[in-house]
Amino acid sequence: MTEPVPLLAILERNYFQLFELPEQFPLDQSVLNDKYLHLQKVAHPDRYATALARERVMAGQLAAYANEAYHVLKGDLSRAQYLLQLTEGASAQQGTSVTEPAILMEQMELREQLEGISQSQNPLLAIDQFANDITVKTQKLKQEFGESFSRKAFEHAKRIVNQWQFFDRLKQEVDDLAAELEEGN
Amino acid sequence: MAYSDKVIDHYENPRNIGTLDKEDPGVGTGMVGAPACGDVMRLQIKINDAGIIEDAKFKTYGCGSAIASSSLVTELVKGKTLDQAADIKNMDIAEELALPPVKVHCSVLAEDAIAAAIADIRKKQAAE
Repeated sequence: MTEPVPLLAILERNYFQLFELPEQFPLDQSVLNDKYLHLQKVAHPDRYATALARERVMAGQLAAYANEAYHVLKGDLSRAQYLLQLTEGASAQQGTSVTEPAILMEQMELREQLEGISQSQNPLLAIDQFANDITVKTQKLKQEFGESFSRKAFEHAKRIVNQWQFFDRLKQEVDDLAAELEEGN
Repeated sequence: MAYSDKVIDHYENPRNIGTLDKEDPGVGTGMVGAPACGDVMRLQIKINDAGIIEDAKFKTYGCGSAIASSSLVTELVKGKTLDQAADIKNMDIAEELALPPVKVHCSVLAEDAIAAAIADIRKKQAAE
């Protein structure tokens, strides 16, 4: 007989606890992958073929929960957002607007720049350079978030995440345009 | 999700895209952004000597609803005083464009942009 898994207790854990990971920004992706695969095995429907209906349902819930948790923790930005959410309780930033001029001015300029790329002399080269700049800036924000979060400067960390979200969105647009340009080539 | 005809109209034929001279004492500039969706919006208004908004321009990077909301706002504020413009609420915009609930935040952004532009103009006036 294998040890019964206390499914209900597992479902009450937060994403970090679920994978037995420390609640911090730095993450060992291979550990996350291993723990995720392990949980998917634990929750696999085959193990519950002869179990009670209630247990089968819970195993399904666990599989879905582990899936959701895995994707949130795997992404740098989503992990940062989730950490802030844990420290603040409910995330209050949803839907609120930012008026910090420096952040907005930069975004406006970057978007205008991106808009001009298709008309530039060498769009493919230009989009490549632009994408690189965005990656460098995003890396800096990621590092700054990690530092401020670890010294519990949550207000600053939140500000960084706000800025990061704009860059994340910008990155999607850069990717879309790059795909469009390559198709037209 | 289907956009309403009005959103599509404003999206395909945006009114008053562009910029006004932000150094002009009669021009107020409002910049706002929504981190959750990555939208950024710039709204500028210009008042005449009588304190009436005679021109408005916008530039928005975002979804169709955000562009339509800011385009509509440039039409709505023209001919109004600052106080009247400040009375424009996001629900007026959302209703006019028939925005679905998930897109109502775009109209909130437009309302915030009006408020920011008005605040900018008042700051300039106070400094004179």
